[in-house]
Amino acid sequence: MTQTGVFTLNTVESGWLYRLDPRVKLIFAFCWLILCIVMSNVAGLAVLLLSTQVILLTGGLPLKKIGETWKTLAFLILIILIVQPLFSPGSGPVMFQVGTIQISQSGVLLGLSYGLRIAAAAFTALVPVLTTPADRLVLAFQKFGMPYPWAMIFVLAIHALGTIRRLYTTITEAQQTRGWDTSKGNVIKRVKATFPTLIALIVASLRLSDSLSLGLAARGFGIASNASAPRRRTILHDIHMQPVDWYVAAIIVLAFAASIILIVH
Amino acid sequence: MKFDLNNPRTLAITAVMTALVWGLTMVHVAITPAVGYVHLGDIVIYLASFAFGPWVGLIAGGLGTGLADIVSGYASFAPLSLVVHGLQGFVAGWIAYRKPNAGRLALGVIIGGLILVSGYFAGEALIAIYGGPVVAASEVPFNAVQAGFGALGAVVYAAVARAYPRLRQLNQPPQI
Repeated sequence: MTQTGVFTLNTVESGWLYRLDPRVKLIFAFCWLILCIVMSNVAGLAVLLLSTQVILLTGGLPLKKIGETWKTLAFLILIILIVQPLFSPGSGPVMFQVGTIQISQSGVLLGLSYGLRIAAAAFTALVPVLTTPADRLVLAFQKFGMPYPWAMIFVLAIHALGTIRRLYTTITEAQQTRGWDTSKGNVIKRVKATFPTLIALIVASLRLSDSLSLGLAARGFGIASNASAPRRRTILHDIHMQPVDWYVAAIIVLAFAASIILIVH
Repeated sequence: MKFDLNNPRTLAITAVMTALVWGLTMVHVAITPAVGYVHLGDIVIYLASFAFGPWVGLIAGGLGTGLADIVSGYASFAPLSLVVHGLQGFVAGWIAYRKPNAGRLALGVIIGGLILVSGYFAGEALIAIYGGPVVAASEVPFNAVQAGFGALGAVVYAAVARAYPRLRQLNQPPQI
């Protein structure tokens, strides 16, 4: 949430990563996610993860945000590290054995590779999302060929999310003054207690959609697609690739190609 | 009703439903003992599918949960959520949108739940990034719990339709 009250995804608003053309960041995310999927080597995956940390830290993402993401991932990775060697011991040398349970080196390495892969993929996806304003991200998608209405869904959803958050706060505060509490009882009781708020939130959101559609219609949305009178859509703040963007894009593609060659051989 | 995103009403309701799914996927009712969480997102996926049709269900379900995964730190699950929840929303809407009676609503949430559980299992088992068949199998009970909570979507749809009678007209062109 910015100071203007408009909900945005990006928490970074300055620095080299913020200034980089969003298309370059999407190319980076695409290449790194492919590498996350095809790479199985623990050292390679560790390098991928390390590269995302360096990029995000030098790009100005607050340590707190990185820490929050690690906190979310930690539980997931821990479970994988425990479950994988236990149930998929592999054929390598046994590290230790308790009764019938064997922990092998290959099982541990497999669990480690899955954990590293998940962390690397999570941080890779955060690079374009947390360092690019939504409107520039949408322009990048459009430049890659995404139809305008699809890009609009993304932008409107981000803005609507901010409004829905405010609605949720207002409704929950109103309910709390009447003694509403979802922190007590088992899961079923808590879900049941959430229902009145949920219905009120949904109805308020539906009313939001009604006024949103009026706003869109009033601004001529859909006219450009009218076959009988086609119009070309204009852009006030367009995005342009600078020389530095081309250099960074070239480095990313070269690193990606080199990694693929290394994986294949 | 033809699905046309150039219609402002269709676009607005699709975007708002996407935002609702996104927001409610991030409301964690309970953390499961394994790697996931029980959330309210599925309830709105069914609501969108039953009230506005399979295409709104597909976009709101897929995009909403995918975006929630990305911003919640579960980014590696975003492509899987996009496909599984998108398909869940599409099929539920395909079953119950035209005739939303109790039988079809129930069938919609049952088939949608099966898609959710089997889709996540297949994705996690077959795609290396998710941990393989062992981790996928350990997730099944928790995805089943999630599918159970999602089934409340049919009840919520009925409640919202009663509280807001214009519900099913929101994505229709205005009558002049």
